[in-house]
Amino acid sequence: MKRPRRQLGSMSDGLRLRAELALVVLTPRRVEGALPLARLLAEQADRLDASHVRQSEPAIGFPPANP
Amino acid sequence: MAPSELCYFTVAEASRRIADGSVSPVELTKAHLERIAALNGRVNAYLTVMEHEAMAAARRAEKALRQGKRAGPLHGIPIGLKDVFDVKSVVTSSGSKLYRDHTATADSAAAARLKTAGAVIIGKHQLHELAFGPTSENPHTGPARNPWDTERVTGGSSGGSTAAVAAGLCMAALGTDTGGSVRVPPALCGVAGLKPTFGRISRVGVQPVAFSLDTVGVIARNVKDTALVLNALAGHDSSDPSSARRPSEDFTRLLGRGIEGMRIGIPKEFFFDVADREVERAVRQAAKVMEVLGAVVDEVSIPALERTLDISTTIAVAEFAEFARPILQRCAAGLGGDVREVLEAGMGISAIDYIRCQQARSWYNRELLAAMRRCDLLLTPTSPIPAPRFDEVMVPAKAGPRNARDVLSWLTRPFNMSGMPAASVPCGFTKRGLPIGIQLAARPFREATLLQAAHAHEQATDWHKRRPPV
Repeated sequence: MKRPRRQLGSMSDGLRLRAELALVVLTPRRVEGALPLARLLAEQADRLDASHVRQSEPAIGFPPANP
Repeated sequence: MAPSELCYFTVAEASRRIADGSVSPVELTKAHLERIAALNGRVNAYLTVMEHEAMAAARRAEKALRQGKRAGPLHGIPIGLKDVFDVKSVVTSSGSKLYRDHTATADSAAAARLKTAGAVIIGKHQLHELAFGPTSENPHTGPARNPWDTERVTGGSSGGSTAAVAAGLCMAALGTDTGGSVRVPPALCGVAGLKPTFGRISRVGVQPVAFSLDTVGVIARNVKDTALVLNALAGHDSSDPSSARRPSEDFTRLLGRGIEGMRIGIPKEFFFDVADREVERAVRQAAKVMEVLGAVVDEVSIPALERTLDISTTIAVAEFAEFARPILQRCAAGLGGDVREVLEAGMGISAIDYIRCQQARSWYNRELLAAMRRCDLLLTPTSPIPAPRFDEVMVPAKAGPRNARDVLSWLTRPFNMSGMPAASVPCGFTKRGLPIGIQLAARPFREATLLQAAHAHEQATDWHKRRPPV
C-alpha cells in the first residue's frame, strides 16, 4: 500500500494534536516516520465532508459485492 | 525437449501434454525444481522450495494418470504460493522473521482446492513483510528481483510469486491483494494477474492484512491460465464468513468470443494524473486495440475517484494495525522499518476517522457501480510507473517527481474498495525494456466478461509472449 508522507501544510492544530496524542500514548518508542504518517491519515479523513459521508450510512466494512 | 521449454509452457499447453502422455508430472516438476535451483539466487522468488513434497505429489499425480484418474486441467501442474497461504507441515512466514518458525497445522482452503484439482504445490514465495507494501523489498530475506532487470523491484506484495511466474519457476501462483498485490507486480513483470470479486475465493488459512479488502488472486503467464486456476479455487466456503454464496462456474467459457459491442470506459479522473508518459501512451494504445476489436471505448466521468486515497489509506492501515497490534506490542523491534512505521501510525487512527472513511466508502462504491451501468468494463493503467530501481526514490511523473513507493498502488485500490474484479495484462514495454500493464475492471462477479476482454486484447497482441532475460 502507499505510504503517504509529509504533506502537512494544511493540517489544523486540532488534528495534529489528536494524532500526536494518540501516538504518544500508544507507541511511546515509535519510529521516526510514524508521526508524519499518522498526521496525514488524520488529514485525509478530515477532507471527507457531508458530500461524501451521510450520517445515516451504515459503516458496512465490506464491499457491496459481499452477500 | 529442453527443460526451459517445459517451464515456459502455458498451463493449458502443459495440461494438454500431460493428458496425452507426452509430458509427465514428474518430468515437469523436476524441470521446475532444477530451474529454481539455477535461478532463484538471481530473482529471490522462493522462500521455501518444497522439493520432497512436490516430487511426492508429482509421483502421485503420475500414478493417478496411469489409473485413468485425471483430476482436471491442473493435474500435475507446478504451482507456487505466496508465503501467506498455509500448507500443512510447511512454514508460513508471511515474510517476517517473527513467523519464521510458524508451521501450519492444516492446509489453507485455497491450497486444499489446488491439491484436490491435482496441482503440485512446489514452494512458498517471497513477499513484502506481512504482505503490506508495494515493492517486495524485504529487510529479513532480501528483495524479490524483477526478472526483466534484477536491479529493479517486482512490485508488491506478491512480488516473489510474480517473479517466479515470469522467470519460469512455476506455471502459476496464488497471491493476495489488499491494494493491488496481484495486479501491480504482474504489470511490472509482464505477466497476467487477476483479483476476483471480494468473497469469490475462500480466505481460510491465509494470513490477513485488512479484513474488508483482502482478496485471494491468481498470477499466470496468460489470461486463460488465470481462468483455469480460478476454476479450481472459486466457490462458497461456509468456514469463511466473507465467502460469497455463489456457485462455481467455468471462467473460460467466454474466452475467444470476441468483444464486439462491449462498452469500455476510460475514467477521466484520477488514473492518469501521475501516469508516466510511456505508460499512458501504451494504455491509450491498448484502448485503440480494443476499439479495433469492436469494443465501444469512451471516456467516463467518475468524480468520486478523486477521493480514492483519502478513503482507502485509513481503512487499510487501521485494519492492518488491528490485526498486527499484538506483534507491535510484543516485538516491534523485529519488524522492518517501513512496516513498523505504518503499524505505529495505524495505532493513532481514531475510531471516528475509520468510521468516517467506511461511510465515505459506501458513497464511493455507489458512485463507482453507478458508472458501471454505463459500461461493461473500465480500462486504466495498472501502475502509473514502470518498475523503479531499488535505489530510486523519486521518479518522473506527469505532475512532477513522485515517491515511487507511494504511487505504485494508487491505481489498483479503487477495486479493493469496491470489491469489483480486476485484472492486469501486459500492454507494452518502455524504451528501457520494462513491462507495462493495463488494468481492466468489471462489475461484481463478472469475472468471465473481464477475462473475455483481457483475453481478446492479449490474443490481438504479443506482449505476453516475451520472456525476461534472466
